[in-house]
Amino acid sequence: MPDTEHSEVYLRLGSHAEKQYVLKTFHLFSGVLFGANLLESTPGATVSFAIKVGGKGKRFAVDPMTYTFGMDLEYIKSETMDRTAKRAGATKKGLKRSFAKLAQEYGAVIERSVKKDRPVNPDDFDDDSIRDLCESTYTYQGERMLTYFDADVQLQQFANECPSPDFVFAPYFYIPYRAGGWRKWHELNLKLVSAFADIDGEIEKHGVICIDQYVLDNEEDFLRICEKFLDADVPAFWLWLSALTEEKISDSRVRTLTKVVKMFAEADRKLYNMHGGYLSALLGKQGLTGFSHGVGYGEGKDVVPVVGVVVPTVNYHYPPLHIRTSILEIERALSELGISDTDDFHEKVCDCTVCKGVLAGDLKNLRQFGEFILKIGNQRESQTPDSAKKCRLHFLLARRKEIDHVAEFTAAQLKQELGDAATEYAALPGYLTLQAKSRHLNTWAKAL
Amino acid sequence: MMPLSKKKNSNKHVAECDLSRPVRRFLSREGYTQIVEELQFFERSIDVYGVAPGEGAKTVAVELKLRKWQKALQQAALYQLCSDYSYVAMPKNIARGLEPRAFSAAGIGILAVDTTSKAVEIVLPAILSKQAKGHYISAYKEMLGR
Repeated sequence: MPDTEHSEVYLRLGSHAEKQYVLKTFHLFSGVLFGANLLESTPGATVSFAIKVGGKGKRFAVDPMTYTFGMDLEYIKSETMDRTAKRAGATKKGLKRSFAKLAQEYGAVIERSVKKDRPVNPDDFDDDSIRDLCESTYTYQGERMLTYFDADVQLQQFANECPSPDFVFAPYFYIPYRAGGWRKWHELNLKLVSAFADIDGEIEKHGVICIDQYVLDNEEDFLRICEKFLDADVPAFWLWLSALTEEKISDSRVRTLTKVVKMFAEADRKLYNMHGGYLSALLGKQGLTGFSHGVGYGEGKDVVPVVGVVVPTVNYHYPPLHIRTSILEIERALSELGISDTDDFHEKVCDCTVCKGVLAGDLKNLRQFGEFILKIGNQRESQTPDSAKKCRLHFLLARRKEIDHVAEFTAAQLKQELGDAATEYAALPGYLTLQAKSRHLNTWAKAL
Repeated sequence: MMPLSKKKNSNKHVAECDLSRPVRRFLSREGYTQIVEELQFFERSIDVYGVAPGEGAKTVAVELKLRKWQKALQQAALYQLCSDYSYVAMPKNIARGLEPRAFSAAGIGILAVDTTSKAVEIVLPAILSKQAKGHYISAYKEMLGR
């Protein structure tokens, strides 16, 4: 008998390149979330994907991504060839097509501000436009896929197979807690979720609290902010603490987060962490309903998108510490951890089918999780696609085991386990990087 | 009025590249005739890597650092996987002030580089790595031997 319910875990599909991982493993999780921008940029592929997920009895939902229209619009712009220019090779910068389509779907306020090339601000909204945005967002999430079916002659006859999301998100904007004017954003979000709750519609409605992670430093403020959200008549909320990295969270922040989780549980509302990892699974013991993350790994997300050309290395998810780390650092620590062969590795680190298949009885094969290659045109080597694939699939299998483990054990047992692991790793010599990377374990134990 | 004087830090004008040439020369004299800089090892980059060819060929990895010795020690410890000997090289005034116990516990050596005279001195000799993996070392030996 499990000690508590399993955390609900949703995989976030960031791009169709990630589909291979999600299709192989989504049956292990509660469901899948994808961004409305993905639905707009590749409707056919996204709809067929949603059919597969829904067909297997798993839940799916579309994140409306409304917050992007309250941020600097540069974040959702791209450079394209300017076909109207006389000069060959001329480029122009404009809103990405997927976001331009969303702006049209989400009603007058957003469409107008985008035309003026500026983000929306709370003063743009009155009661009518709030209702308008709520209705548009609801309709979009509930019916956009059906519209796609209807518009496609070949798909029309299958319109009754068109999946409907299991829940819909209220429109939401980022609350810039450290900036002046954050209260106005908070007020707007409260009005939006309340108006959204009032919409007539069969689909379950969820609210989103998207806020600067620094709010965790002021427990009183954070509790008050969240308490006001509880006035809205929706059964569930998703909390997005922008740029929060679970393994870097401080003791005091964990305490505040735990209090917030308990507050929602006591109010009989579901609370999900929109971008979380193992700490969120542990918080399930305090009433957190679940969390979502990407496939490699997206356990934390900044509202400000990463702009860069370097493809990040997909590191190995190291189950004893529940974090990702370089395979090199793991390999270097093996002897100090008393791991001398693959049997030891499977017993102390991971025995998932990916690890067993990759190691195949020889620890030397660990390097396959971190293989690098020099690609044409690059000056530095980068991770091979095969190595990244192995790391991602291992992560998803290991995550499932972690969720089962948390459900099976009591909070006291998990606390003891975290403490034991912290002691074991703290005793490693300081020249091993894994020693310093284990400090979060004692902090996480404070959530239990 | 007296002009505000800027604090001068003797290390300020020393860069890691000021350490690499003396270290290369030093290794060369020690028999490491095949030497390469910035050798990629997974996502890391080994500052200086040398092979002393011949029967019983040996390899050495050197991490160059101006200040942060703990970070240098951790990196040098990783390089023990792919080299027989692993060193941290730092400017002489810093290298001589290091607490050698943390280094000797790991078997990592310390090189002190005189950035003026370019002389390199072994403050602590490295111990033959027990972590060295043949599959990494042989690949580098072969690559540098070409």
